[in-house]
Amino acid sequence: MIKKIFFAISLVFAMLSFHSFANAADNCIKVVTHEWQGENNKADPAVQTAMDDTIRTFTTNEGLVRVDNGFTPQPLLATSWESNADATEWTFNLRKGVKFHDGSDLDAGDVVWSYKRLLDPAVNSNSFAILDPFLKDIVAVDDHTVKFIAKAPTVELPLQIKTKGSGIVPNGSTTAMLQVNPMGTGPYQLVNFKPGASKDTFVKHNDYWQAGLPKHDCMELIPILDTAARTASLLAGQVDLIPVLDPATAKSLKGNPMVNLDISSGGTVMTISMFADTAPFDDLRVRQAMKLVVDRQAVVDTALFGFGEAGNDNPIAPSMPYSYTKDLKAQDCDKAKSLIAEAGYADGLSIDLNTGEAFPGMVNVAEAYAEMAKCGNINVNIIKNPAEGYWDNIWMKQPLITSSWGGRPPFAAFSIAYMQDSKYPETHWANQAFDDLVTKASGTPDPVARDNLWKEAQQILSEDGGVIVPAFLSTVSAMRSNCSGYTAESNVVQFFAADFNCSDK
Amino acid sequence: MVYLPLILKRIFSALITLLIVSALIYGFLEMLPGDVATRMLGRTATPETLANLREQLGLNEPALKRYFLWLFNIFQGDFGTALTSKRPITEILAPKIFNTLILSGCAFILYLPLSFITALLQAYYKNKNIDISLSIITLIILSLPDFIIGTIMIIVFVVVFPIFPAISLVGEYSDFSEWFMALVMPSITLALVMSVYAVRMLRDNLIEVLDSEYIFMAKLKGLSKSTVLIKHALPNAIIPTLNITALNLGFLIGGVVIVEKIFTFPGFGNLLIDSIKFRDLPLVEATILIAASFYIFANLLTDILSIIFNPKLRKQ
Repeated sequence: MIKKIFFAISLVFAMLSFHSFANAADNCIKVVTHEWQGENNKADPAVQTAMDDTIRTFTTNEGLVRVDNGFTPQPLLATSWESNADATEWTFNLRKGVKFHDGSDLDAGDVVWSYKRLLDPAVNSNSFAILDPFLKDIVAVDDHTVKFIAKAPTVELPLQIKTKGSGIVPNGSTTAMLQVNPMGTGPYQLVNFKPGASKDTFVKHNDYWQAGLPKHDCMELIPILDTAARTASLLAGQVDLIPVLDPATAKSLKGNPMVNLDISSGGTVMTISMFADTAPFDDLRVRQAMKLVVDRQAVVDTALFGFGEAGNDNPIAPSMPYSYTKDLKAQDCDKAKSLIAEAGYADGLSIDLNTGEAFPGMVNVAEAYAEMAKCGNINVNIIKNPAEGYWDNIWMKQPLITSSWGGRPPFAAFSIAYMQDSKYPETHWANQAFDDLVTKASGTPDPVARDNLWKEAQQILSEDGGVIVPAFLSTVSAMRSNCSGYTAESNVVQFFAADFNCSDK
Repeated sequence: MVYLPLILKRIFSALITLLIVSALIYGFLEMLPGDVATRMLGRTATPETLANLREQLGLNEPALKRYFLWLFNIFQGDFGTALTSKRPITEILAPKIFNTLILSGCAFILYLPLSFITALLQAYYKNKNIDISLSIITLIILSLPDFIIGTIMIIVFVVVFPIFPAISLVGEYSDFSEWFMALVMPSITLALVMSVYAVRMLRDNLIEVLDSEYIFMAKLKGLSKSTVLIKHALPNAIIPTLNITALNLGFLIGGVVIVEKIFTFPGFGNLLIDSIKFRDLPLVEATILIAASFYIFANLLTDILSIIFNPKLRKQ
């Protein structure tokens, strides 16, 4: 009897050891996503929404440019670009010898088709709202040259045409075609894609234009929805890369020799946004008081566990070369108190702040803010909403909310939410001087003059606007200690796998 | 056939229940703020893209009309297609149900010996050290929610002793050893959570039955303690446990949702969460109706079993 039990146990262990051996021989790099939409998974870059789509389509499809963490456009499928004198027409030279996964050559027709799709409302692309305001048309000049025609002078067009949906797809392809047969020029090719599958498998693109890349034969995209399980599989070596880590986990992994962390500068803009046309926030004194109570560095240290940078109530991080000041606004409780009293709230101001974990860290920011606001005689009542549906039901519906934005270059950062014709006016703030400055800067080719306009615009937004930006959350990426080559993206909606490699695989 | 009228009656009431469930689900999901279009387009949806997608998905029809159209198709055996992926629902559901049935099957197979052996041991060694220590262990597990047990399993068997994978990804490409590795932790978690209730119930029933006169009689006849326990006490103590088991089968549906989420198991539970998240009505309806049918079937089965075990009920 005891012999039999021993036999059974050794059999199980033999099976287990065989299995781990099989695992070690696996050359695939394994990338983790914390979001997985199941049946709504998309392989068409134009219609992607969540993080898993971003990783999938940025691995399969490449755009014309790659935007680095200093918000400078870098060549990708376009090798160079220049504009006419008033920056209304931009000519992009395409890289030669680039092949799609099916072996066909990339040419201007593919680029024109990909952007025309984004400008077609019937495609239902989220990029429509971003491109349509400035992009009039795109035409092929010759096989490897395309011209973007803007509606008005647009000096940052190379940055602005990079949206999360702007990966290049073959001429003539539609969402229905791409969902069945994903196709791009990216370092890995997505094979056997099925929405609702339990993971995605990619194989190396043998004709990839960057010689020697990618370093691995295949890649897997694995959803791990549970935070503890995600960290555990990285520590156990079962996965290689977690592109976006929440700050609490990042803190727990800091200094762990089994993990390489890459931390981006700047990062996601964490905001507390008030409707500037709704009482009590329509009173400038109230808005100023609400900004004065913030101890900005304390928000970074407590709410973001130190992974971030303090902010100055506008979406440009102070560390950026074109920020209007490098100094942080100081906390001044007494001044806030007197402003609140002047505005007619001698007994203190009570307000509701709606928040929810729709973006990780928002509730922490709200709680830190409520604690600080007390010193200015402002009583903040936090209303925690479910993360599900937060963007549908709370955001842009309630007068005081927390929100977050991916890091963006100045024009995109200002125009997406703070101008009068913005598509997502989360502060209901209207300031003609600000709008004029942003529009003017966008048409100013001289970089020094332009930066000065950006600075002026920031200062107005910071002093008068309806948005409080206490901090920017750094993007933290975690790799196994044997892996390298992945850069944490301060704008989380992009992903580049080509350089990522693990020395032991 | 004494059970036939009961079964027919139950099937009829089951169908009525399912019809009510389907209407309630449709109503609740319609009442919830947001619809499949807002979910598919995400935060950056604009009024134009929303209107466009709603038109393409046929959401502009009145909800009542859409419900009856859906019901009409169901009666013809057509579950329709998912709104999000436009794939046929049967094609989406079949592999997920298969995976979940395997997981629940494994959990149930572990559950039976786990609860019976523990309870028998406790009754046999009533108030001895074994009984007390097992009671303490069951109480601890009882007071821990399933997601905590799952997380503890992950920390112990993935981080401290790296034996099992943290996630249970299986599919048509998986071989036997992958299935085995994927199933161990989620099925043990499920089995543990289910068995603690049954253990406590069965132990108390056994001890109660052991005090009764006919057991005393059996003991006087000179039967051994274990024979008395298994042959005479167990059959009488088992009926209340059967009800617990039925409840557990129902729990399996709900518990599977949480456990699948923790271990990222590609089953029915994760599908249910995703489809509700995306307000994908036809998919939610199909998943919930299947869960409800399973629950109703489990209850019917225990009713029949308890009639088999209880001679008094059989004669009525």
